[in-house]
Amino acid sequence: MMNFEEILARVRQMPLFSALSELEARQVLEQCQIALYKKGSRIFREGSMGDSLMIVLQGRVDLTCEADDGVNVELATLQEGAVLGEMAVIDPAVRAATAMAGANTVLLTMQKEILDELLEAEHPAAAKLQRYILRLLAGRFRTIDDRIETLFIARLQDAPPAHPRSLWSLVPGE
Amino acid sequence: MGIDPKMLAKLPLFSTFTQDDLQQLAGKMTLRNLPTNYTLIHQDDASGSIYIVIEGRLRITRALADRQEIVLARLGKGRLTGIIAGIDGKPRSASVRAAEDSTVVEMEAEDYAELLTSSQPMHVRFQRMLAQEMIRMLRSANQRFTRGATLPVEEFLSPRHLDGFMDEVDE
Repeated sequence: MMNFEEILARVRQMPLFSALSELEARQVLEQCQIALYKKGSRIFREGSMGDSLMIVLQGRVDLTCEADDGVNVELATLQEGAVLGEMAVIDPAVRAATAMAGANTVLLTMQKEILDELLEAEHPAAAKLQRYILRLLAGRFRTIDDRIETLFIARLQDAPPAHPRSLWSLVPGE
Repeated sequence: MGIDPKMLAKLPLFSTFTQDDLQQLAGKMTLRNLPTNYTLIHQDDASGSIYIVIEGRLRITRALADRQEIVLARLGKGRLTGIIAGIDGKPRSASVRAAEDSTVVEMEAEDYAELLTSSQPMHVRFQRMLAQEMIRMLRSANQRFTRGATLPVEEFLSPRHLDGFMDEVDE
């Protein structure tokens, strides 16, 4: 397991924290949790309540969802540096997919209340984190619009109906 | 330039804003009346103003080949549109047209850019509101198009007579 300074150095290379000064990153990181997930273990389950954002520090995360026939469908694999759950820290909701550790995986978790408290205290890091989340959300929008377009072009060409069980859970990072 | 702040105070979008905040925001906004079918935002244009619906209804569409369009969403009173391009600096991802005679307030790109980049408490509250609105729209699109995956494709295409399908996403 990495020590605090190693984790700090690593997260400062990664999205979200890269916008922060070293001091801000340190202060935010102190509020976050770091957890190791053994390969094959479950990080969260589809349909469970989510109120935290995660960054993949090491390893990888496989997102799956259960299709109507009960079969698990693979949605995406998230590599180091990927962010998931950025909507959950603004507006908690049920998770759209199940997340499993695809390898021994280290995740950083930031609970919604941490961001809320930083915002409440008008901590300079809070506004930066929130603005980073805005940019992530803008990216999600572009992706979902593109997916909708692709889906409809295919359907207009009489392709067999696709089953986008959850359009945004197909988006890497969510 | 400038509108009556009371116009904003009535909208749930601004429920966390103080009187002073609303006064400031209202000073950067202009009221505009749009006739039916007026195109407010053209897909692929450079980023620009954002708009809040005060009265009426807007239709957000994405062009396909053969002059067909998918209706991505319809926006009623109190909803916000045009916000994505200012955040990522990319061209407009969709077109926005008046589905009926409508009234909107407009905030121009420079004022929006300032609200997006500053860390003043009011601006941070505005950024929060934007994030919440985007999440709401993302979830709505996800739900609608997922559920609609097995519906006939015509249900999602313009023209107007099919818009009734979208009513449930409005306020």
